[in-house]
Amino acid sequence: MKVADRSSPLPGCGFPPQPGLGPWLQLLVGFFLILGFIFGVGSALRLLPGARRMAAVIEERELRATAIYYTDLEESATGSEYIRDCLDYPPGRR
Amino acid sequence: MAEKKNPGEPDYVVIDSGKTTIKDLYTKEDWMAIWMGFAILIVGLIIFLPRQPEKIQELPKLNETLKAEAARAPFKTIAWHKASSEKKGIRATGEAYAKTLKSFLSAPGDWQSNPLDALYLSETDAEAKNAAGKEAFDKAKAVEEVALEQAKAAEKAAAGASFQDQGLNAAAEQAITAWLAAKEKASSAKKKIGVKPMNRFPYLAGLALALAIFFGLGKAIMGESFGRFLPGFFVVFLLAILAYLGETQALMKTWGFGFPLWAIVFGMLISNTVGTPKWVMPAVQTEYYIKTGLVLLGAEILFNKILAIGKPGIFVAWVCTPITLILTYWFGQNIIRMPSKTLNITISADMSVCGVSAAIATAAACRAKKEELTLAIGLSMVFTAVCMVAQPAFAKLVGLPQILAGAWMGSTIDATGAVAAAGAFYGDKALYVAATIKMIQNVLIGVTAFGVAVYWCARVECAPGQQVSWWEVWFRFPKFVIGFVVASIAFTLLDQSMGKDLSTAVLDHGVLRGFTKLLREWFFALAFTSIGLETNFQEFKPYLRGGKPITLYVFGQSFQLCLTLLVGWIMFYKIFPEITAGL
Repeated sequence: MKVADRSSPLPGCGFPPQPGLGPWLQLLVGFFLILGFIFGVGSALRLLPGARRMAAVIEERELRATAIYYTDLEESATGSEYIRDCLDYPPGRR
Repeated sequence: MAEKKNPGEPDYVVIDSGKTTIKDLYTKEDWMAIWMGFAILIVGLIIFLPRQPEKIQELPKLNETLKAEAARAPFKTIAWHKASSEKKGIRATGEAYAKTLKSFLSAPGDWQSNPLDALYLSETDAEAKNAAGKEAFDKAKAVEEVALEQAKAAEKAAAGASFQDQGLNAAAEQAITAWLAAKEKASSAKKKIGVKPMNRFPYLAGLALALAIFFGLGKAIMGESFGRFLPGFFVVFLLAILAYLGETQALMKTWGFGFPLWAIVFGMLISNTVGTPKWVMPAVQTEYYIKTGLVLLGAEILFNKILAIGKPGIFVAWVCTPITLILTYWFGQNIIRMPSKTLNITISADMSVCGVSAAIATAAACRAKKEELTLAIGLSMVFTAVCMVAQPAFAKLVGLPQILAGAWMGSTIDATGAVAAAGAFYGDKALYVAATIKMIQNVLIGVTAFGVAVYWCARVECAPGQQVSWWEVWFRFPKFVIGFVVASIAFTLLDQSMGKDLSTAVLDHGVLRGFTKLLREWFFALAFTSIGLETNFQEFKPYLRGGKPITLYVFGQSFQLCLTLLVGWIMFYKIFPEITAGL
């Protein structure tokens, strides 16, 4: 058995341009919608309760909130190394 | 390589072939991804292993200090914290050669209103930024110095009573905690005055050329045209840069909308409006990039990491997560009857393990369709943004202790970065525990991808009642998973043989974080751009009917939130309270 890769119809060859607005105009509109999302929705989200404080914490500590794996993030290293020292060299409780 | 497809056919179909040959080792994409991934890993080892950080000799002395201070006082003294902090500064990534390598491989930087700021910063602008942060740094530094003096005085008083006075000990511990908080603030402020002028254009051009040749040669070995691959690659790479610019915009960075999302969005914007030009298509190679990236990700799966926080961490991350994964998949199949098994397992893994990275590995292992992976990632990013704000707020409302809150958030918020943000919002200890629990959970990606690949070959891709021999399972098995697993085992053994401190300084903060991880991110960015460039909006419609993916996600996430909170409380406060007390 083998697995064959059968991709979708090639865009530009397989996807017909949408009727109405010209494809380039659509591209431009789409681009401005993305900008609207980034600057409009992105700013509006800060109005949610607690969100402004969260944004301040991320900014202050320069956290990479978009990290997808532990190696993308400095804090995973700092945290695990600190915890390791705590477990390997625990102060004697009296 | 993509074959011509009839309308309505699925993206992947299993076809009878019945044989495998030696030629597969250099003509099949799965094997090529393995060799290319291994080549990068070997280059990384050659660069970093012989060039250990200059201060590496100081590690035994610092460990001695930690040991002596731990024996001297019943709390972590100033000298203990200073030694622990100094150890963290000994990293291969801090060496000059590693910094040069990083500047060549790094993605664009941050920006607020002008995207060019992410690529070019003049000397005047860098100075202006540093000057703007100077006042805040001076203030934070002064606060830190005062806090340190107070901590020293409190510790001296406690030492004067031979650490026998509980009141003086508690006061010293409190003063040291306050100094650590002030130190953290001063350290963050310092980063803002260390801005240097930059020009990323030549580096990005060089990287584009290097990657074009690297992937183009792979294609040529597989018997495809190097010349046809090359021009299209630069367009895909350009869109990948745009995707990074989407991520590094200040507002988007805050909400966790990372490059995978933007790569798909920009790619789809082009493919659904003006269409992807035919000459770009030879470089639109989703699987080729994703599989090579996954082999590199395999090396980052170090199994020793699961011991990072002791037994409670293993229970929270490695017991709750598989239970949630299996239950959510079962719920999707038997209760809400998801339209696709591959979509079901991709969402279940993405939600229960660790978001985008788990979705990529699982989708590749079960050969999910590109729109299924896109949907899973979109869901994950939206829910992550909500959980990142809501979970610490809830934890504060009910007054969860820092360690329990950290364990809970670390295990249940999908994205690794969002976990750190939520933890930092709650406090330093919560941040450390959350980031560490997420790291332990990240390691599960390897087991999940391997398990899903085997299960799919042996059970799912069979006719009802069909018995499949292991030989046939091997034929069907996505071979790149072997590279992924071998890389993980090899680097885990290397990590073990080097010892904790040396491995952290050279392997984790050298080969992996200083080299392969940077390339792995670029490969994923290229893969997601390719997904966007070959996806039609219409393809999502069948999956969204009835809102089943959302129902599945909400069910799984709700179950995981309750289960993890309960198991975390039992593990950290009932069964292993001594570990919790030591953190």
